Amino acid sequence: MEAPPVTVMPVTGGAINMMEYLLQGSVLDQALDSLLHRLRGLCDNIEPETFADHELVYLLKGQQGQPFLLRARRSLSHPTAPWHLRYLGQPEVGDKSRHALVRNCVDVAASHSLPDFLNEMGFRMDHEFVAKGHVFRKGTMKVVVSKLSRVLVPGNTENTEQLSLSSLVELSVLAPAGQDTVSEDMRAFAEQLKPLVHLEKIDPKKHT
Amino acid sequence: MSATSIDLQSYLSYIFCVDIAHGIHHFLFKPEACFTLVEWFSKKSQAPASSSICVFCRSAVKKMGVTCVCQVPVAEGKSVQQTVDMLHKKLEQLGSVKQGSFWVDCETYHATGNAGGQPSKLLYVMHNSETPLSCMALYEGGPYLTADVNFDVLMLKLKSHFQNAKGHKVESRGARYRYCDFLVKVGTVTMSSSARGISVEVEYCACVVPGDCWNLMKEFMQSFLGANVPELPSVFASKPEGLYAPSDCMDTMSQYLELFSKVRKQQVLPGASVR
Repeated sequence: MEAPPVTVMPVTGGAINMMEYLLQGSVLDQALDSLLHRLRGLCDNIEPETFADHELVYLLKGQQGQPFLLRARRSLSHPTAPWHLRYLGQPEVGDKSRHALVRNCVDVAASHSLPDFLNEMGFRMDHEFVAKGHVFRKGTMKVVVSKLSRVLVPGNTENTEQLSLSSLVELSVLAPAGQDTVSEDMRAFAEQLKPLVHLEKIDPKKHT
Repeated sequence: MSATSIDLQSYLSYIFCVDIAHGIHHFLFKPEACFTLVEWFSKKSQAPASSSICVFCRSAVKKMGVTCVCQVPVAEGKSVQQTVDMLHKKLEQLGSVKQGSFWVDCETYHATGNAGGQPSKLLYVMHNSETPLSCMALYEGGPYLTADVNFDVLMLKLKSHFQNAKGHKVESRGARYRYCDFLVKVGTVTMSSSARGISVEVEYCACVVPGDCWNLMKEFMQSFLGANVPELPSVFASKPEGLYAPSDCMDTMSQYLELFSKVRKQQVLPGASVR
């Protein structure tokens, strides 16, 4: 039997127009356990997941305009897992009818040669940090509760210092462009986490 | 290459593997559904220990062996298509069985902002039908990057920094033959829809150490290429003795890249437009 021609499969592709819907907030360390407890109750009943990631933020400076920013992540707890490269577009926060920040998003899984390769492309590492925490899921929604630490000696993830006495809480959904109804579900879910944490649509530009 | 990266390579090719002979995708992985690497890994932990078994259908998935890519000159007085047909006929006479088709393509990008003042190196992004959900990005002489196809989307986002030299897209397409443990791919190399030459890729699937099977491969190639048998590919020659070929297709891709660069510089063959 002759196999079907390979050319029927997409030659190049990937998810062209994926958007990330995002709500952010923070919780003080004292209240962290209660929040985790609440999330365990609200989210899908799967084994609790923890993670420890090292994120490097790379910039590519052109002759004009804004530098191009890419985030490269690797797992510290699973050093043989692939690297995760992420591009995030300009956030759209103006639209009042949408309850979440929306931004274009490209996720790429990559081999361990990623830092060398980005350097060759002209990218330079701007800053790095370590994020440790918990991941929860509810359907397509994802809740990440993470503690961020500054890396004191470049490249050395053993030697870190906590950024603050609170944890970052992020509620996000990845969906194709135009599926604004997901932001309704996100708001409804965020309501259930009050008053432990107030998840909001935060404009990153106002904080730089 | 360190032991960990070989381990990773086998993991990557495992994720994006496809069984072309049966037209089945194995372990279709959606990285966009994950943010943290722990999610990636949780998917891996569900996989069985042997990396050649598909998580979903439990069937064995082919791993890469040792490959050799070479250019075959067009026979005197014949066209590209006639020479390709001759090769097909020889392979069939040997008892090879046709198993579908294959393609390999290569796009060229150059950096637009040249701050350093030096001529910028070209970035090549390649695809191979053997790993259709992967994308290989290369600089001549390294470094090399294996990524998933979302890398193509990223290159679109980067278009103000990296320009795609559209006219430089080279690809090789053709038939895929199997003869016992050998896979043979005879392709017509085309650039802007004109045929520029013939590529032959021979893979010996039963071995991953180039030095151990090179003589066997050479003998097999002699049976249908005659005097056109190539020397040991430089990707293997430059490696320390006995080093394993990584289980992804980077060694294959760098050989195709070398061939494509040669073809790009070459004159257009007279009367060689295809289709």
